[in-house]
Amino acid sequence: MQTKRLPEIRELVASPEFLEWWKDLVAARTALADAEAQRDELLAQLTLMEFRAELTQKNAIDTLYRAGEHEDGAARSLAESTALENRSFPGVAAFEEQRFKVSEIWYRLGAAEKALDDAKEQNRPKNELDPLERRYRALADEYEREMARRKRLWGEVEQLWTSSTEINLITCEERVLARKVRKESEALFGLAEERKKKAHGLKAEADASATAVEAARAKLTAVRKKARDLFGASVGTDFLYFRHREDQRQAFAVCLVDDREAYNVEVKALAIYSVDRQRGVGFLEPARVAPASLEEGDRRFENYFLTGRKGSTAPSA
Amino acid sequence: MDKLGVLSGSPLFEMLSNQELEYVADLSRPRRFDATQVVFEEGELGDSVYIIATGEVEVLRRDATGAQKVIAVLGAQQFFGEMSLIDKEYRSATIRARSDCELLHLTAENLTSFRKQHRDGFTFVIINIARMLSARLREANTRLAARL
Repeated sequence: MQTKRLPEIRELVASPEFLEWWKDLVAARTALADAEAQRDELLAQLTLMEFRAELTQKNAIDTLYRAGEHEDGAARSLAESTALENRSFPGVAAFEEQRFKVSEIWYRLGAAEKALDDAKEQNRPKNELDPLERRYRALADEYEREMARRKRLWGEVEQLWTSSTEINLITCEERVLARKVRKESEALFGLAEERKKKAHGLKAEADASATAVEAARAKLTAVRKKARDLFGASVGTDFLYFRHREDQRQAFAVCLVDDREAYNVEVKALAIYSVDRQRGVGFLEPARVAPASLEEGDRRFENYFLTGRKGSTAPSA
Repeated sequence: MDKLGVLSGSPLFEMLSNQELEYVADLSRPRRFDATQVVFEEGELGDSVYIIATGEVEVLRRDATGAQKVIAVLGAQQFFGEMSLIDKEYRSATIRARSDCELLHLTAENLTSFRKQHRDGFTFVIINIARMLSARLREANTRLAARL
């Protein structure tokens, strides 16, 4: 690290060589920032794509399970429907038997009615009409009862067929749904695979961008180091340092960044600061060549203290 | 922020030369506060002074019941925090941003740097603080006299 006076550093900072180096430094920093931004963007895209691929794969598996559930549902419904169909056969047989029975009663009822009507037309005595009347009513009651049973049996058969039909319809839909969901699942597996491929491509790009970042960082380090050879400065990250020629305890720091938060003063790029050897940039003071003229200060004190008084009799505080 | 414009208009830096003002500008650090944000609390340790660049701040003190009351409102180019800077005591009041504001912050160390470089300028800063404190004392005396 060379020793320098402040005017020499000012001259150096304004020199074409220094400005050329500064240009290279800014370019290297910008290149690094761009490379880092690109890497971060690619890493974000990669993470997102990997996550989406994983999520799609999980969805595909869940959908496949759903297709299986529909297939199982269809099989269960088919079995249920078949059982109902089978249960309906004895019902139909019972109904047919009943129908035959009701028909027979109907014929007998018709005959009884005719016999009664004929007896009435022939003005048969009451003791002959009464048995015919009783027989007719007994047959009419029997007919009504058996007819009701026939209707109930038919109702039961119809109920079984209705249930069977409903279940059949659901079974058909379940079968179609099973096919549809299985297709969805296959599409999702395809999409997951496609996303995995994209993630793979992004990984390759991210790896390449990480390499670019390393290269840009190496370039920046090289440019920084060059300042030691070119200007005899000690090189930090944000400052170049020169020893103070007249004061062993002091050094000059040329700032390489704009920063209003990190230091005790708002630092600006290419501004020169004076630092203590021990505290370094822990406490920066803007470097100045010499104190202000004493004469100027003297006049101001005279003006302030000796003129413009409000009057010698004014009450003092 | 036009630091030099703010500092040259502030009563804290009256009578300073351009060179001195430029140096103070280099030493000062801009700080931004949102409305209602507290700059510092009564009772905190502090060794720095703030100059208001834009916006307004409220000066709050706790009364006997502990409730905070606004005792003053300060605007652009006015300054605060100088009392703790001089007497090294705890902050005597809370300062809260009344609106979004920009402040210039100068620590005791920054002022020491200024003193090393511009002794007369530094003396004028101290005189300006003394003038402000004197004016406040006069005002307090007047109020006290009115109550007696």
